[in-house]
Amino acid sequence: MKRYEFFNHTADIGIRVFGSSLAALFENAGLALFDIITDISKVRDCEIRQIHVSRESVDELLVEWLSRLLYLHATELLLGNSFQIQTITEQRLQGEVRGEIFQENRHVIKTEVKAITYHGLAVYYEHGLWNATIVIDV
Amino acid sequence: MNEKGVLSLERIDAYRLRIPKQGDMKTDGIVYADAAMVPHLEQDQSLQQVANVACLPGIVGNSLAMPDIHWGYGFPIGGVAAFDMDNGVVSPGGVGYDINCGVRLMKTALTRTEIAGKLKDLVDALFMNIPSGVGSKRKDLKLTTDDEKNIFRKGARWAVEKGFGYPEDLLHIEEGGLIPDADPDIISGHALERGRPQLGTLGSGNHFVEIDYVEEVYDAVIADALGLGKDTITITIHSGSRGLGYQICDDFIKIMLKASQKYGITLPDKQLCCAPIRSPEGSNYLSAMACAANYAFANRQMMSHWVRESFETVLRASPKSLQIKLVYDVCHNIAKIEKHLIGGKQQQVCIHRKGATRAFPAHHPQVPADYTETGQPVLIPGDMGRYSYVLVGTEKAMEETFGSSCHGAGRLMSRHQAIKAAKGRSIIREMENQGIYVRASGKETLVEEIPDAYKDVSQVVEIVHNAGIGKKVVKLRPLGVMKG
Repeated sequence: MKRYEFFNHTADIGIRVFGSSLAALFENAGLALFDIITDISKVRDCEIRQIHVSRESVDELLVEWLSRLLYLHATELLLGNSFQIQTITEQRLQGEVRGEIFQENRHVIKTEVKAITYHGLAVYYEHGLWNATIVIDV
Repeated sequence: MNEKGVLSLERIDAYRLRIPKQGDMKTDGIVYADAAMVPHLEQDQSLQQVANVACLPGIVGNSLAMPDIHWGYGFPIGGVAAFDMDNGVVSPGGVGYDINCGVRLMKTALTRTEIAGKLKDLVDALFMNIPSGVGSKRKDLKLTTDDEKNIFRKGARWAVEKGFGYPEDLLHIEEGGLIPDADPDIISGHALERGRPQLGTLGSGNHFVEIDYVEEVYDAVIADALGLGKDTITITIHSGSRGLGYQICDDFIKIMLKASQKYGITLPDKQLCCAPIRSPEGSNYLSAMACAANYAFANRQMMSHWVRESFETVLRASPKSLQIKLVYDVCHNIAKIEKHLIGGKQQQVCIHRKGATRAFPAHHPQVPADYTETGQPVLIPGDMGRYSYVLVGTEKAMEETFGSSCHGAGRLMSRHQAIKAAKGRSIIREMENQGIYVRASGKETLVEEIPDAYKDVSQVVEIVHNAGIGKKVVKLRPLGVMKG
């Protein structure tokens, strides 16, 4: 099963994410975010960060999760390559990201991500699959 | 809107389209576009975004879009909208994540022939002196949280007081490089943390420092008054408020999503979440936005200093002989409280310019004394391979667009389309063949920023000039480009 795909948006980058469960959807969204930022195949998982976030709706929860990952990238130069959601409801999640701190001679930065937007944001369950649409400001 | 949900459009004249009030729109949308632009506009959601902005409470006049309009998030890029101070709203989505992203133009006493053969050294020196790319910063610059808060309060003046540039630079910055009512105490810890290491850094994507020369002069009198005679070497800086602005916008979108519910505002797109201007949420946003805007002014001021140092070192020349002076510095992602003549009366309104530039005319009280007779310089960068323009503001812009004009070329291709189009090409070689030396820190930046990914900025500028909402002064041609 395809975990995510990018779609064309003139100024920004659109992502469609898929998951067999809500947890898988969020994990795949994390991977898609770092696939925009770096070559994830070069990232080893030697760092772990825990993330707890809560919001009022599941779509906003997805933005919050990705924004928190982006915050770790912006402040610690963390590059994520594996994501695990331990518990999740539509308003709250506990999860972790594994990855590596950016090193100039080892990693490439493909694109600087500014923010996760709410434009055209959607999270829904259809035909046995969780789907999400997100636009990333780059 | 017809039954398929397609917006109806009417042509007003050769340069303007109307989106008549339909659905929940409170006013018409007006888009500055010629016939050739329409097929592109109809391919994405940018016209719908103009219509969405027209649905927001308290909008004054029309929901406007400049000719560099393209699909953004929330507001279209190129969007301009004014809101009534008592009944209207302020929306972080109408400013964008990169608060006070803007352009600064500097002129020199040098001409094209005087730096021939030195361009590679100049661009390499800019690259050494101005940090760009992830995690890069100046080793000689360490900020505390108190410093950061002082920057929020003082804007570009902070940088000048620390020795980055001259007091007279401040006279040629929009708002003097300081937007009032900044309140550092409402900035989140996350935003402070993202902003602190990034002051004095260029960023990546479409941010750049570029060395150009004046290739063509359209209005010799104004060009002379601006110090932009033919062949003059100029330097353009395009950057904004870095991670600080992104985080402030993100923080306030969360606040505004709740505020929109609290004040009963129906949103056509969550990204347009907003609050009444005079509500606690609205006034806090404006105070937080001012912090990021002032940080961006300081950021561009510091980079100007390093541009000056780079030129002095490479050319082994004194500041006095180089005469690198600030022409102007404009914001193009901002919300401003301004006075405009509306229905025959002066009215204070909150103007959102999202990818649009202020374009005040000659004799406007907020135009610096040096430009009283010319009008405010309007800086319109194009793509890295073609050209950029300098315009001045006009009376007609005051009448039609709340004193606003375009901000750039506007993207034509998505970044992925650009990467596809650039496959197998050496962009650096292509630029070199055109006499332009380019260096970039981001691996994909260069291919995403290929000239063909952008509209031809001359077409955008022609519409602005012919519609009368800006007046062409000079065309700049790139010689050396540093991309983030």
